[in-house]
Amino acid sequence: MTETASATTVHGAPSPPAIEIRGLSKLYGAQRALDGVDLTVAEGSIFGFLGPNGAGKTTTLRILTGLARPSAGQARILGYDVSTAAHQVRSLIGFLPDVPGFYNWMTAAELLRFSGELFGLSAPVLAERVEALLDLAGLRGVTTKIGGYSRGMRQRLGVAQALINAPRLLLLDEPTSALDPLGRRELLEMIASLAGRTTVFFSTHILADVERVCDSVAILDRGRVVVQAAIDQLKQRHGGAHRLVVEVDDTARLARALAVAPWYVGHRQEGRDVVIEVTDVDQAALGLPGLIATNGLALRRLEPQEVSLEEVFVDLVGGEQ
Amino acid sequence: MRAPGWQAFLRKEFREILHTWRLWVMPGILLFLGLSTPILTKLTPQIIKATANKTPGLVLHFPPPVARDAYLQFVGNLEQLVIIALVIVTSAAIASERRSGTAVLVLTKPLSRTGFVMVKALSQLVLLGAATLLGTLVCLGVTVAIFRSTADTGHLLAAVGAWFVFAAMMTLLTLFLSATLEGQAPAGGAGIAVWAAFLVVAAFPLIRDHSPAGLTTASDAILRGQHTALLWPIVSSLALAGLSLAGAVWTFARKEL
Repeated sequence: MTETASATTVHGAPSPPAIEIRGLSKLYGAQRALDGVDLTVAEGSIFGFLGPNGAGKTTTLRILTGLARPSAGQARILGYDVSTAAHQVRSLIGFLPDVPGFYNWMTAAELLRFSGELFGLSAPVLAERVEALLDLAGLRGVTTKIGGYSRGMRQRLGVAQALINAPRLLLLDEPTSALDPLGRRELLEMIASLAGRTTVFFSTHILADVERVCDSVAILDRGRVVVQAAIDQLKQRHGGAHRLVVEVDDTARLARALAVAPWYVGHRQEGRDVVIEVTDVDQAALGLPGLIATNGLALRRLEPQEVSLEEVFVDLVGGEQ
Repeated sequence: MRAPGWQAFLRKEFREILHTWRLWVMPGILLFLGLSTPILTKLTPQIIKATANKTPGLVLHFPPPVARDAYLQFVGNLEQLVIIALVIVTSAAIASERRSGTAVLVLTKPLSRTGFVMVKALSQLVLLGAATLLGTLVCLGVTVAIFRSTADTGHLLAAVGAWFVFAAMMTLLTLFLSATLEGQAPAGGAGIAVWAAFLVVAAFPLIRDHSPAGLTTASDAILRGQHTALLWPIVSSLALAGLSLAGAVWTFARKEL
């Protein structure tokens, strides 16, 4: 059990990352699906794995779960190499594929029981977890066979079955992509409720979902990780701290007054708001009220504007699409 | 963490047989053949005579049917109809789990790919064995009741035994195709092509007597009391069955899902 030693926290040594990927590549014939991916996901985070369709998100997840083999590089989950310690990895993870397949003749309770039996859970533990997960998925009392479920019910059941072994790492592949707004909201709330209980690695191309539930993110584009950071840091890094939104009674006069400010870069009007690009947001926030007062303008609102993840995403990968 | 995943998966396989169409195909066909073949054998001369009587001047003479005729008809159906049904059913075993995504569901849990294939093989063979036993016993019982004769009972059991070896080999061969090819239709088509090839080469005595092809005609010969080579057809069938199972495990372990 040499693999076990590398995965265990020994005498206060830091535990291994939930996911550690180094130089991961995957070729399908001449097509390169992954091109030297490097990624580290800390244990306990809700991590968004963001990228446009075809970026390589599903391929990465298939390698992490042992469904596909890498052409080069290494992937470890909680210290275990996914290629050489597949059984240990499968015992520690829960996985929801992008289009989950179920035995349609089973009920939700039967599927959860079967999933738990594959992990060898004892009967009392299994009974308790099945009840708890049926509650979590909003499927308690549903006696219909899975074949009659809506897409939203299937996705919620998919998350529930992935949690049956109380996994240390939950891998979700595009869990909300085909859901209607209500189903999407329910599923995101379900994922958000897992914060602090397990590490969640969540692939998606829907930026709003990542902003809503994730604390960290990596952006994948054409098989490469373009950036990896905490969401707040990412927004800071990509212009979030360089804009102010101002509402005054005369925007034309404000525009003329701004031209002389040393921190001024440019501005645009959005309805009654003026969005001002600045070189230093702190300096601008200090100087702007004085400038407005000096020019006899009435200040109604002044606040920094946070850049959206969508803007960061477009900034990083959109221009090349 | 007590029971290994394969035990849970095996239980699922048997429950699936009881809950889905799988219950009705092989057991259903064999039960139907077991019931209907002796009755049809008994009634066939009367039906043909009744039809012939409508043609003036035509007189037909049939020897009275005996139990062996019913058994020959039953075994003939096993050799043709049941083998085709068997190939079609088995071709879905792995291919359909891959297509529907349920293979991903179970193989990302502590069930090895080897365990997956072995359980599939075991459940298919148990289903085949149970269906064959059911059909044969029903055929035997109905034949004895209708013809009031226990003659050729031993020949029937020997003939069905020889057929079962061939059917088990075809099951594992089709399972290999199901693990290897993309989809049930290619696997089923290839399985039927292999079976047809066995029927063709059975026309060549040297090949027939030293290959699984010998078992495609052995059951009929056993019932007719004719000499037939059994040793090499059985040995080669078991060897091919073992190779097919090993091939299915090897191929599926390397398959990307």
